[in-house]
Amino acid sequence: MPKILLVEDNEMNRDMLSRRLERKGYEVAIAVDGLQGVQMATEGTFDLILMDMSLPELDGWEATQRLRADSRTRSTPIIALTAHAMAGDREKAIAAGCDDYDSKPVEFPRLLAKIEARIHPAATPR
Amino acid sequence: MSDRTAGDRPEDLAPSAPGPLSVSTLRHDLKTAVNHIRGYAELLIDEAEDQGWDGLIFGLRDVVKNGGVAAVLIDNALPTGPEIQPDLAGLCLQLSPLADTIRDRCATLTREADPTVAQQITEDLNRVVIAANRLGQLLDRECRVALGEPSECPIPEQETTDENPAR
Repeated sequence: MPKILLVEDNEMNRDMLSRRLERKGYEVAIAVDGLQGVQMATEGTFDLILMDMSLPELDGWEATQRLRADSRTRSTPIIALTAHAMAGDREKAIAAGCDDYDSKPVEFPRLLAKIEARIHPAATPR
Repeated sequence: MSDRTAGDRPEDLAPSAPGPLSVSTLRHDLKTAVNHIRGYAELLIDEAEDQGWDGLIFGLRDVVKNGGVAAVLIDNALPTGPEIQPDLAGLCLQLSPLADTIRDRCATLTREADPTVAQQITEDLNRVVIAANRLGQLLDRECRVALGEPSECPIPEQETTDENPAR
């Protein structure tokens, strides 16, 4: 079962997204801020990280940078999530080290396709 | 919060330009509420389909549809760049009735659901209502600001446990 780390501070976002992912067969671990996210990502093994960018303690931008600087998490796919969705945010997320970007409100099939493309790249049509 | 402010970040990593920060924050808060509305309604549809609760699906799809319309209205009214002026008054006029419609639909779904089903869906429907209330409160405040009226009451903290007090 693919394992996803969801780094999200908003309780309803966490509850909703983790339940939807679990329904699709993913195992979901949860971190509630950037520091916890970095700690869990470096100490565990995850197939993918979903990173909210507006996080307390350590925001998603810096958390992503730290994960990219750590050999244990350098190659773990990270998808950025944000409700800000301002012009240029996607490019900024990629520049910060994220592999992909998605905006809220989450279009679940679209997000699922991005997750699948990162976890099972060979099986995903391009 | 991060020990670095947005202004301390390198230019290429800052999430938003400083100009439209308040619009960015409003977009964020409105879209978070819409995310809850759509997400929980879609989750309930999945569960309704699995459980054969066919009577709920039409109403839930209506909630999802209204959430989608709300997202488009927010995108159209609140600019993603500094060069476009936000249309707060227009947004309030169009979005407030949608929030009311979503609340009404949830109330109807709860009222009309079979008692055994209602017990299982009430918690998630309440989450949709909480998000619609949040949407309405944000819009009410923004309408008053746009019209130059004093706000009746300060916007309450989000009605969920949220580890980020800045939201």
